[in-house]
Formats: sequence, C-alpha cells, structure tokens
Amino acid sequence: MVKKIREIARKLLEEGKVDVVLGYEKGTEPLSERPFVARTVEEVEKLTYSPFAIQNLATYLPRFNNNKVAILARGCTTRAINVLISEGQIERDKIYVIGIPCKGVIKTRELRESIGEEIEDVSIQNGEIVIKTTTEEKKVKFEDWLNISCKYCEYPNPLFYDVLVGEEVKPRGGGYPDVEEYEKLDEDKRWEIFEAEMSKCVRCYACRQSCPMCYCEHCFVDSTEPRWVEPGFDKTDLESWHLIRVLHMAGRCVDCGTCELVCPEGVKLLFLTRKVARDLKRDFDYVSGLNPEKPPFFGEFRYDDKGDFIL
Amino acid sequence: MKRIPLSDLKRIYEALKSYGSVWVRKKNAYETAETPEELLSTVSKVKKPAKFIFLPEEEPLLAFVQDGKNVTFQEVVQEAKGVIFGIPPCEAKAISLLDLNFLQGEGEDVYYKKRRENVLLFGLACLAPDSRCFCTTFGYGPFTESFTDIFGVVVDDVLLFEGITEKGKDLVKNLDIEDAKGEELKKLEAMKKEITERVKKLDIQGIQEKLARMMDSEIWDRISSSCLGCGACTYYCPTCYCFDIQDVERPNWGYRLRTWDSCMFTLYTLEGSGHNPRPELKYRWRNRLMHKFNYYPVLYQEFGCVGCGRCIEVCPVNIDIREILMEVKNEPIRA
Repeated sequence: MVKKIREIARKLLEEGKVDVVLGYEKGTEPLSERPFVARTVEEVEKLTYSPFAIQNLATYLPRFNNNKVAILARGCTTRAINVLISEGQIERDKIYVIGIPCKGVIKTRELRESIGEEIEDVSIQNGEIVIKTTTEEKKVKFEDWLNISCKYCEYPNPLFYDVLVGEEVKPRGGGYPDVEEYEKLDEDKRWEIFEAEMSKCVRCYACRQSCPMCYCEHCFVDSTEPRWVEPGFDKTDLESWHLIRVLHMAGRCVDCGTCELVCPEGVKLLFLTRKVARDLKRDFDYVSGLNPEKPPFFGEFRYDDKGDFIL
Repeated sequence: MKRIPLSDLKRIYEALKSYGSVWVRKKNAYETAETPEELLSTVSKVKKPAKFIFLPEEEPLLAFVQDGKNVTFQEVVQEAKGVIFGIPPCEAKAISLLDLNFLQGEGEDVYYKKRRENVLLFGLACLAPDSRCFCTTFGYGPFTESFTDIFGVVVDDVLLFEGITEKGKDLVKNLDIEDAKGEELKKLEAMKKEITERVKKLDIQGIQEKLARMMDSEIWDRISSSCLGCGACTYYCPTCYCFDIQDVERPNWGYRLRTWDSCMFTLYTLEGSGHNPRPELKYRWRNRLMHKFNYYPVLYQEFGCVGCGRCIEVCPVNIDIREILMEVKNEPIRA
C-alpha cells in the first residue's frame, strides 16, 4: 500500500499535476504517524500509511487554496472535503484525491500513555498491536484500541477519489451503541461524566485546531465583543466552550474522531459529537458530508422539518 | 551529603510539612502529598510541569466592586507556600529561566515573586531520562543540583541529599541526620556518569547567531506546514510564560484575570486595529523558536529551552523541536 502511495505521489509531482501531496510520515514518537507535506520527488520517499495516522488531513486543505493539492483520504476525509466544498471553503477541481479504504485508526496517545514504559518498536500483526518496550513485548488487541468512531464507521471507504489504493473494505456499521449507553444513565450520572471530562480541559484548543470543520478565522471562544465565553477555568466557561463547539458542529462533524484523539489531556469529546450525529440521523435522516451539492444542515429549512424539540 | 533510608522518609516529610504544602510528582501534575509514602513517586516526568504552581493557568490579580458611584478595588494575590519534592533538574532549571523574566528590574512580577519566595525546590536527580530528553544539550544534566534549594539522589534504598542554597542548608541542618557513607557516594558518582551519558545531546553550536540571519528564510514555511496552531507545546512547556489579562465582569463586580496565552494563537498579536504583525503560522513559529534560541540568549545568555521533550510528546502532530533545530542548523543561508 505504501509503495503504491509513493508511486502515485511521485508521478503526480513529476508530471506537475500537483504542487504538494498531503500525506503522512513516520513520526519520532512511538505509534506516531504524522501529517506530512511532500513538495518534491525526494520527499515522496517519506510518505507512509498505517492505522496510527490519526489526523484528518482535510484540516489542511483550506491552507492550500492557491495550490493544486493531492490528499490521502479515507472515508471521513472525503466527507470532510464534501462539507468544506458545500460551505464554499475549497474547490473539488483543485484537489486530487488518493483514496484509502480505512480499517480504522488507533487511539495512539491513550495507548502510548497506558504502556508507561519506553516503547522501542511497534507493529500490527494478525489483529494485534505488538509493542516492544525496554523490558518486554506486550500484545494488545487492535479492536480494543480502535477509535470509537471507527469501531462503528459506516463510511470507511472514500466516497469519491481520483485513484484508489487497495481494496475497498466492508463497513463496520453498528450505529451508536456508545451514545445509547450514555443516554441510559440517569441525568445526574450523565452530568457527572460530562463535568468530569470538561474539567480536564486546559484550553490549548488542539481539538479545534485539528478539526477539519473548525476553519473559522475568528472563533466564538476568542471573541471579546461580545464575549460568549469568559477566559479562565470556571467550569461554566469550560463547559460552554465545549457544548457550543459541539452544537456548531451539528450536521458538519464527520465523526473522524481527530479532536478526541489529539487531546493532550484525553478529554472525551466523541460522546457529545456522536450524540448530535445520532440525533440528526434519527430525527432528520441527515448524515453530514455525503453530498457536496446539498446545503449544510443548518442552511436548509423544510416545512416538514420535525419541530417537536422546540420548547 | 546526608543520608536517610527511604523507610525513614517520614522524618523528612514532617520537616517539609512545617514549610507548608508538600507537592510530589503524580502522573498528570504535581499534587500535594497526604502521606510520607507519596514522596516515593516513581513518575519520571510529570506531564504538567511545576510551572503550574508558580504560574497557574488562571489567577485573579484584583477584584472590583461597584456601589452606586463608588468603585472599590482590592488586590488579590494567590499564594503558594511549601516545598516541591522531587522536582527534576530540567524543571528546576526552567524555573530559574522564569526567574530571569519575572524577578528582574522592571519586569518584576509581585504575584510570581510571592510564590517563588515561599516555595522551596527539593530536587531529585533524574534516574530515568526518556527518549525525548536532550537536557545535556544545554550545559547541565540529570544530576545537576544548582537550580534547587536541596538536592538529592536515591541510591538503592537510601536518599542522599544536601542543602544547596542557604534556605536549603538550614532545612538540612535542622534535620540532624547522619552523613552519607563512602561507598554510597562512590555509587552515586557511577550512576551520575552512566545516566548522564544516556541522554542524547544535540549539537546546536552557533544556533543563536544562525537564527539571527534567518528572519526571512523559507524554512519557516516548511517548519510550520504541518503545525495545527494549537497551544499544547507552549502550555506544557516548563519555560513558556506568556499570559493574557482580561477583566471578567459581573453585575456590579468583577475581577481582573490573568490566564496563559500562547504565541501559537492567532489572537496573540492581533491588534485592536485588526492588523496582525504575525498573520500566518510561519511567523508565529519563527517567534517561538527565536524566543527560545535567539532572544533569550541575547537577553540573558541562556537558551529558553531545557530539553525536557514535553512539546514533542503533547504535539497533536508530533512536531519535534530536535528535528527543527537540526533543520535550522543545516539550512543554507542565502547571500
């Protein structure tokens, strides 16, 4: 797969079809496959791909609006591209999509931190992640460390592409059992979990910056006139920040999981974003990022829209 | 050098308690210890550095109350008093770098000063530098005692320690504890050599001068190309100290709040006019690197980085400052 990716990237750059290739390279941290912008044929040799590549690359696309760009894209990446097109942020014609059928990505930060020892080498073999530390070889199940969005992903294959690398995979599907589990808890317990998660936040905004949909030049949380959210760590402010962000994502979030995967404090965010996605699907039969021609969820009004949630 | 068996740490704990809080190393942050056993933390690198104690994420600086036409102000100083036990040399050095900015001349910061004066640093040698550590690059190492008040090393099941500053020496004197044995000191020397050599030292000779000639280099485009522009690297950095001050207003009262800020944020340099002198990520990146490796050495003859590697670990996209430094070093300078 990696060989094919490099081959395609090299050809695109050589023939001048694109200026840059957005892909991944091996990082310096264990279990890290980080975003990489290949600009030359030599740099193509660094490109690689594995389930450790957590960042949704669509986040970088608006930066390259003046370039012709090739991008490595899995299902959620193409959904993000669709939303960005429908919101007028990027143009499909300028983007060459190297499609990657995705088997899911791993919660790399959480896994790395759970090991608690120096990691020397990591490989994936027969559904297991084999981690060699300075003292032993640990094996953990691939499935156990899968990003929750990937675990129930309906769209692992790119929705569109200019070239596809590898065979399409069978969607896992399975809906939103994690959300349903959360909803089953009583109100106090739900609130307790919510508050405990939000209290970990240090306001570094890694979630916002890594999100392909968070392209606003001026984020509401930074606004001082009017001030929607106060500075500091009052829980009202931390909680408002995350709740407003999640609602702002309604119908736009493509459930890639990047926000939660990159959080340095391991704040759980997907139980909120996925709940919104589930509600939209259940109540409005809306799934974000499937069609770039369709107006955004909040950009459309229909007389037969469900209104029973309005007080 | 004094010695105390680890089984006897209760004595030290009691002595430290008389100074106030006793902070110890926990996985995520320094926390106050409730029992002497907690002094024996095995955490080698606390995720949130001890900077959080001296420069909290948020602190009110003053409060104001309005009563009719009268407004009254009240200064608020958030205090901290006690001992940080087990702070490693890198973090202690980082605090010495913060001192340069907060305790000198016009920049003297009363809030920082108050906490700094009342918190002792009981350092411990770092026995487990990890793969991200490059402290020896900056002229010190995992056994450097000079940035602490008291410095110790755990050798087998004994803690060897000595007072470094006057305050530290006083504390040690009052403890009335026996001297370290000859063979223990010998073992300490051997450990020091072995562990210090384990740290990968970078050759960054000339980087300060090189950077001075790279203001308009193309390198900033490359370096910043995968950066997302979040503040994780600066927030977890033990030497980054930039802050923002805003008023939090409530009906008839409010307070002036200092919070952290990050040079990686767009808003950091955005001016009231709408103009931003650092409009793109590459300029912000340039500033971050320049501040640590050029401005700080120019001002204080010290690099603004201690080589702890936290930024490498917390970065969502694993941008590695060691690679960046090498890239700067190898970048040809245009005539």
